[in-house]
Amino acid sequence: MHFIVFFFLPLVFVFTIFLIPSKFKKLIFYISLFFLLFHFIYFLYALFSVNIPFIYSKPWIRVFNINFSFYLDKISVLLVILNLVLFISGIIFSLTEIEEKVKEFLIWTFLLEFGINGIFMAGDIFLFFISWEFMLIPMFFIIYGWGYEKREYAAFKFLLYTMAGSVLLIVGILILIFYFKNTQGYFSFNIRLLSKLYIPPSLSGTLFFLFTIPFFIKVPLFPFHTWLPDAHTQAPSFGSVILAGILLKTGVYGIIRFTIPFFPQFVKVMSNAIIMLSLFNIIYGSLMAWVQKDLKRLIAYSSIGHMGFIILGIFVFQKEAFLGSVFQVFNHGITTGALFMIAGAIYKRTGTREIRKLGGLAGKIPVLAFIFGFSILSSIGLPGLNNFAGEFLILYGVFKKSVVLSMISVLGIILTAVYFLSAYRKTIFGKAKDFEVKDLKLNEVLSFIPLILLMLYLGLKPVTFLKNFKNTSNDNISTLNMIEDKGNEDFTARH
Amino acid sequence: MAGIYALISFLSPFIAFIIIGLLTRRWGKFSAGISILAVLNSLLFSVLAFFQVKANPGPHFVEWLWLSQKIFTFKFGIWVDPLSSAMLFVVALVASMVQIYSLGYISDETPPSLGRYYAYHSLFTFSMMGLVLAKNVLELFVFWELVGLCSYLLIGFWYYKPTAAKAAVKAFWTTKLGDVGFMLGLLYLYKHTGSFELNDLLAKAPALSSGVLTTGALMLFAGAMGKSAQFPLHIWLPDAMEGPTPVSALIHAATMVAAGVYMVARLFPLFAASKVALWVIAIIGAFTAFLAATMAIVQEDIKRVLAYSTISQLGYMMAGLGVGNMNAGFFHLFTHAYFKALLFLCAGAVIHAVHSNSIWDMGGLLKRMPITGISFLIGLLALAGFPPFSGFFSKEEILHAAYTAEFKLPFYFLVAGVFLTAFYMARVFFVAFLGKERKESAKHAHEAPPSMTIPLIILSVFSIIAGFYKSGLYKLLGEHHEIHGASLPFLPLVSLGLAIFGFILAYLYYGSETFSAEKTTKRVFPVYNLIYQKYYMDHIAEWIYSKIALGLAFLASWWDRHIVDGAVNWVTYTTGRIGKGLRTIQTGVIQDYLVYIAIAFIIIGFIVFQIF
Repeated sequence: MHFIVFFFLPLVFVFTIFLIPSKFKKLIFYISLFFLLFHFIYFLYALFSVNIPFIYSKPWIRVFNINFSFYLDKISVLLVILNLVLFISGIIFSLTEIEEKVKEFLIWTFLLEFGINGIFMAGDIFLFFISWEFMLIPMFFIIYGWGYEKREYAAFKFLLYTMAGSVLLIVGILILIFYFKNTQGYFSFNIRLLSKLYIPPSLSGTLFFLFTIPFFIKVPLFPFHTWLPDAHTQAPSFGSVILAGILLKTGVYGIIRFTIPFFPQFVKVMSNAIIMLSLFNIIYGSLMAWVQKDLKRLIAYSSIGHMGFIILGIFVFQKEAFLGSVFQVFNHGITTGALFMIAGAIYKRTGTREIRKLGGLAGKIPVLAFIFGFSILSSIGLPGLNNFAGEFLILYGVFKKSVVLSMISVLGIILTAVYFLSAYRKTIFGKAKDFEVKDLKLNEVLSFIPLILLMLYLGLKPVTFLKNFKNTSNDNISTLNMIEDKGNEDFTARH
Repeated sequence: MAGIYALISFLSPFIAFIIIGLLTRRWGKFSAGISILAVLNSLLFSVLAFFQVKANPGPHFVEWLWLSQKIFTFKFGIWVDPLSSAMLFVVALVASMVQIYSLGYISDETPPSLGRYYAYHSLFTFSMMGLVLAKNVLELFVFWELVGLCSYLLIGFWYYKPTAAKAAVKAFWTTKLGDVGFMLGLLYLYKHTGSFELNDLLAKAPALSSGVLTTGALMLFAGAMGKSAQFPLHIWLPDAMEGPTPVSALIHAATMVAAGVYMVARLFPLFAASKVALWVIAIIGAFTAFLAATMAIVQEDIKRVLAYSTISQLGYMMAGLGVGNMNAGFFHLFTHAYFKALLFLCAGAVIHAVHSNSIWDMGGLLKRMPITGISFLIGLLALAGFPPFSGFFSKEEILHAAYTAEFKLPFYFLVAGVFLTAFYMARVFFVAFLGKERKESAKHAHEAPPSMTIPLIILSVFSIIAGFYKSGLYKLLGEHHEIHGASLPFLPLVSLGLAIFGFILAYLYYGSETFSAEKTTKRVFPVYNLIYQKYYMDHIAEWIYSKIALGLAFLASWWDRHIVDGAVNWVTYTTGRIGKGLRTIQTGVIQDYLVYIAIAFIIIGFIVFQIF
């Protein structure tokens, strides 16, 4: 019950904000912040009052047997928490960044949150798809309304690209649903039920692509990545944080929730190709990041490299690597979120994102320089900070599969160190340029604190995080077992 | 008790780091005081731990859980045994000397940056001790990366100097190149032994097949090559001299760069089980020792001479390990730490006085700065291997082991290195400390303040006496894995003869100027230039970095923007064009539509008739 309240609360918030006259800008901000914090606490409260995995279902459209249903396993919970944390940090940060159309901004923000939560909580493929589409619109408007100079191009590119993926996804869903109807005699949109369906090889090939390409666009994997640098660069800081921190993860979530359980054999067939693709992604993204002139673009391309790592960890089908990937999903959100906020803060102070024009900021804005350095160290996988444990687990899993693969993937780690430290040197070190800059404001410092604490905590004690996922009988990892088991047996045998 | 003592010693710099970092960074002198107190405390407890270990060699453990789940269990802990406690003492001693010395050396920094300096120093000392005391290889790797980070931060301490910032990045990624090899090596060994614990690894090592052992050992050695600046990954160390001199003394001479050697010594049974791995280590070490020594001859910057000398001496240590005598390699690390730190601190005092790094700006400094000059001479004699200074004993051990090894090539490199070492060090001494002042600035040089000279004196004492501790250290380390050969009395004579010859030759060139260095240079100009250009290795590395890797990145960027993204934009553009094109057939004239319908019927008709 609490989860249903939790799910619909953003709409209540939207309505409340709608009632406040738009001239009370700060008031709206503080109220929204309060709402978000409340929402977060309420989620934790709801979490403690139920068992995970949480399943809820209520008939919605009876003709097609569509239910309004939730299914929250540990991965969903993890992503919802990440979502809320990034929203809170992002909104605290935006307090001084977003100065115009504050009310509209916050309304879109809550609608975005509503959509994203829907993706992670949906137990029914219908609700999933609606949320998937719903999320695009607020994001589009946030980029379009509050972005930088080329926002129009970026917003449309983002929207069209993702829409193109959605078209494939809806076709895939329809084929799947009707196949289910034909073989089982009734409609079902239930994700768990669908995942038990045996899909013959003749169909699974087509369906696999229909269900994978939309997610790969979101992740994004080469060659579907070109929307990302533009969207990330042109979005306001808050938009970039959510794009990189959460929206990319919806792709990973889709892969874990749909692609792998639905088409285990075909995934197995394709896994080598996808591994190659993700390795390519790691190297490609890192190389691209290296030569970027724009700081935000650099961080955006670094995301491509890091996401390649996550996909690699999933598709090598080793427990350690899978666990590492789930961990990295969280870590990457935290770290890249912080990096985008830093880029935004630098832009706000200097009026430029061009690395060449920056320089010598360390003396003028030491706090920002420190946080920037800290986040970079986290991103390049310094032991003791969060990314290390995840990357290490992935690397171990990859290593178990093949030594050569792991050797290629560590190239990405080296390149990450090279481009991030070079960028840091050029922006923060070196001769001071004559900027009149002030250090971080209180709200900005506050917005970084949760992220930095998480980086430290997860780095020093990854065990607290990972022990939640250790039990193999748990359904997260059973996704992997399914690949081993499912296939020969038919649909009724399991669960 | 030894475990607890070591733990206190290990944690006290960390506490200093936290205090300075969070609270007292703004008050420079106060932070310096905290940091120095902490490190002296470390020194005290490391001595206590050392004596405990001497009484009961242990090993002693203290451990706690870091990461545990079904697949991995990692415990963090400290492992105190003779090797680690001896190394702990070295780190604590050099670190405390350097920190005291720094008080005088960088006293004109602003308070916040002084605070930052000491915060980094405390973090470094903590990390280095963690590396030394690590109980499993994963932990070792964690601290291994952390010392790399501290090195990065401290090289780039004067971040507003572009050269320093560049050198910091270069150091980081060059060592990172080795580190990933190390990381893969850890995973590889874990795959085959199922453990990261040092004692498990060492216990299981002999049972592994030789192929596995060799591969694993060489992967680990890649890490050691990066950290300990072995050819061809040595290129970062000379550039790292852009950092403050005390940093060079502590990190880039005595402790961090020795971490690679320490790691090999720590895992020595594993390396020793693979003949090929040892052979590679011996060859690379000996070759590095020789190559770096040749480069040291032509350097003009006093710190760079010492940097190349460090690379060369690290080569000696590696070679000592590689020829199978772990004790000799570690013993050289033990003595080298004192005299090389001493030499660097002397160089720092000189640079402080003359405000220049070039030896050609100095001259006649011995009489103006007697304590520094004499300390430098002591360090020099120790480094060049004159008895009874410590370097003589440890170098002799390595040469002895190399001579008795079945494979002789490393020995010749090392012996040639002895001559070169004496020559380049004597050159610096004659040019910088003797003769007349070469520049105006040298005439105004003054002896350094006591905070700088006292550490020099203490380190001088250690540089002299450390050599006599050989039998004590060997007894403590155990005589295992040593290759016993017949006593070879002529070996010390040969190496001493070579060293004296090098010394005299340097005197003839730079002291009495009987020979003209310039003329000789001209005569062998191609060779001189090759060495002066560092064998073009920096150029090659730079070329790989900027032309190949960066070129590839630019190419990829062009491809991404124009081909991949171009395709995307083309699709939208074409769609738009098609839409525009199709709009023109929407004329609104009913006759046109009738024509379209007719055409459609004809086409459909054709299709239908062809099919059926």
